[in-house]
Amino acid sequence: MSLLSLNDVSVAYGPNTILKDLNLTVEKGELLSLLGPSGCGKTTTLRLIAGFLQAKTGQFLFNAKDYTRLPINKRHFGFVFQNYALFPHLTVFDNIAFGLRLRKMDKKTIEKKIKAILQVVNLTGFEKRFPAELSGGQRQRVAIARALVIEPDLLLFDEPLSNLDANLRVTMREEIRRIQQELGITAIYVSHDQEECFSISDKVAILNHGMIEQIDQPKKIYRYPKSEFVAQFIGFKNFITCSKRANDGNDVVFSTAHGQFRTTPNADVQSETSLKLAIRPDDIELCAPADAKTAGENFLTGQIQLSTFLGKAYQYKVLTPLGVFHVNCGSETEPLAVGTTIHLFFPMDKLVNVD
Amino acid sequence: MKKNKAFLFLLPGLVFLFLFMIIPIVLIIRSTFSDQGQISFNGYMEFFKNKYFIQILINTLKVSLLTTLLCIVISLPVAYYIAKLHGRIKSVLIGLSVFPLLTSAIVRSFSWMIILGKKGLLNELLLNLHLIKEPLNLLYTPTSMIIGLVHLFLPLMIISLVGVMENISDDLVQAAESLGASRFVAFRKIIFPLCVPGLIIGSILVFVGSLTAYTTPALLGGKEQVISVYLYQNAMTLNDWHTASSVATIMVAVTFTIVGLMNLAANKLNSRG
Ligand SMILES: Nc1ncnc2c1ncn2[C@@H]1O[C@H](COP(=O)(O)OP(=O)(O)OP(=O)(O)O)[C@@H](O)[C@H]1O
Ligand SMILES: [Mg+2]
Repeated sequence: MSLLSLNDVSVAYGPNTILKDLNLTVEKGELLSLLGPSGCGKTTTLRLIAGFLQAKTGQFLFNAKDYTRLPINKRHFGFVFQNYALFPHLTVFDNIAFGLRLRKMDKKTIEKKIKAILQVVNLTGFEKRFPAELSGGQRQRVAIARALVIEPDLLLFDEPLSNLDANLRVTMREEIRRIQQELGITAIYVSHDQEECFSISDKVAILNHGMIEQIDQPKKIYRYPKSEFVAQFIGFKNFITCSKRANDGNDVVFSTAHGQFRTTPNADVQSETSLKLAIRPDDIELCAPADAKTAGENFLTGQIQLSTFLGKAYQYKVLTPLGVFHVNCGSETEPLAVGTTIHLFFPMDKLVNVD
Repeated sequence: MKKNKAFLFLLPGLVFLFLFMIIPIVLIIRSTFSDQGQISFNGYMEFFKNKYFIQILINTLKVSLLTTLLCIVISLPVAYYIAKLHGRIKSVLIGLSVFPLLTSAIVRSFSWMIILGKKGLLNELLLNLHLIKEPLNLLYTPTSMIIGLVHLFLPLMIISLVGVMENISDDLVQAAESLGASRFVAFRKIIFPLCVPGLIIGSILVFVGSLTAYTTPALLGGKEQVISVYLYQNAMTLNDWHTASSVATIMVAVTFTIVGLMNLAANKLNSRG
């Protein structure tokens, strides 16, 4: 039995349905990320779990109890807001003490707990400051401490790092992961930054228009996106639409008007008839025209249309008979000129069949 | 434009205020400290020995304080409700709440007379419902005066509070609730303290307004006088300008003291953020 489960939950703002028959389960001690484009319903899902929003239909079970209509203040969940939502008139100490005081703890216990939690978030000595006197990263840590100190049954994060600069974001996400694992807290984490989600989660759920497209371990999603939407969202820029597929031993061979493409089947793809292939720009290789490794398969010829310097690589936009492909090549070598004819090789283990 | 040149725009306003406000006030205040050309405090000494006057002063302060408190209590929920609305309905409600300010004080007071009188609407209603046996004596009492003043000054409090409440994010209440606070506790511990700046401004406006209001107390208050009515009688009926000026000076002093105290309180309670 999962710790948390949403069963066929729907949410609507007026006539607009935001979540449609959503099903989601989270296990105890797990960190689940919700990832998806802006407006897909990540915040809505989180607010629903927190109780800020009511489901129109469906059921929310937590610890085998029905939480669907339970008031917010009875849920005992911690919520870390995108804008932190610290109480501006209270000091760091009083902000963190807010939840403890409501639980009628005595002064000594409160002081002890706050001291401990400030150590966890590395903010010892900041007790007397007001939120306005803190940096963004410090505020964020206060927000986490405030949510953590009540030892919630579930910790909810709504894009907690989106206001921070790139370096701090990396430090903070490691910090969040460390705290979550140290305290063994179950957490749901919302973000639209895929690297952030992949790096800290046990599981990632990809949302699209209020529906979960795929939910799995980060490395599995990264390697085997289920659908074209997921693939696109996590960096597969190149797609090939084929006309026929046939099994060949353990492999599947896809045919197009301009050659065959061999790959292994994608266990997550449901339809046996899916004719779409995807590959990342980093995974396409350049090769000589009659290279042995191609064996006449997984091979296309095209002209460079555009060359962009990305820092670690050059990205070429290559026009082939099967459409435009984006290819990244290491920036150590001299860039190829626009108009050059090049040969693209699609390694079999990098080419993925998607829905 | 340069900053020092921009200062010139203030000039017309400053000149006007100086000529028609500062100078007359200074003249009035100066006149109260002289007795046949000599500096003296006799006028004031007499005032503060005068039991009748002290009673009026206390009455006035009491009425103003009660009016302010009532305005706060009534405005808090109303302002919170309005602040959370959006669009047209919000403008309509703000417009409605400002309405009392747009009607003449005399018309407003006469309507209260019709409602509160011995044979007024309210007494008729209560009698017919058999809730009371004798008609209540409401009109020409401090009660009717306070009702009239609250009616008049409520908009100022509502507007001040809506102003601050609009800027309090819903997230703060939700954060408080997720930490275990009920709606009421969240209001008391989060919303209310953050409203203090608006509360102070509203209170100053209402308190000073009640302290200096003339028409409403004159029409609705009975024998129990307030200071502004007393001032008017001295100046207009008794033609005693010296006393009137002293009363005016005392009013100014009281006003400044109250505003000062409230500002002090505001700084003490002021929210950081
Ligand atoms: N209060 C509201 N009233 C009406 N529609 C809303 C409201 N809040 C959100 N929506 C709509 O619900 C949809 C989902 O919003 P949500 O905030 O869950 O998106 P999100 O995935 O968190 O996006 P982002 O990454 O931009 O934060 C959006 O289309 C949005 O326009
Ligand atoms: Mg969001």
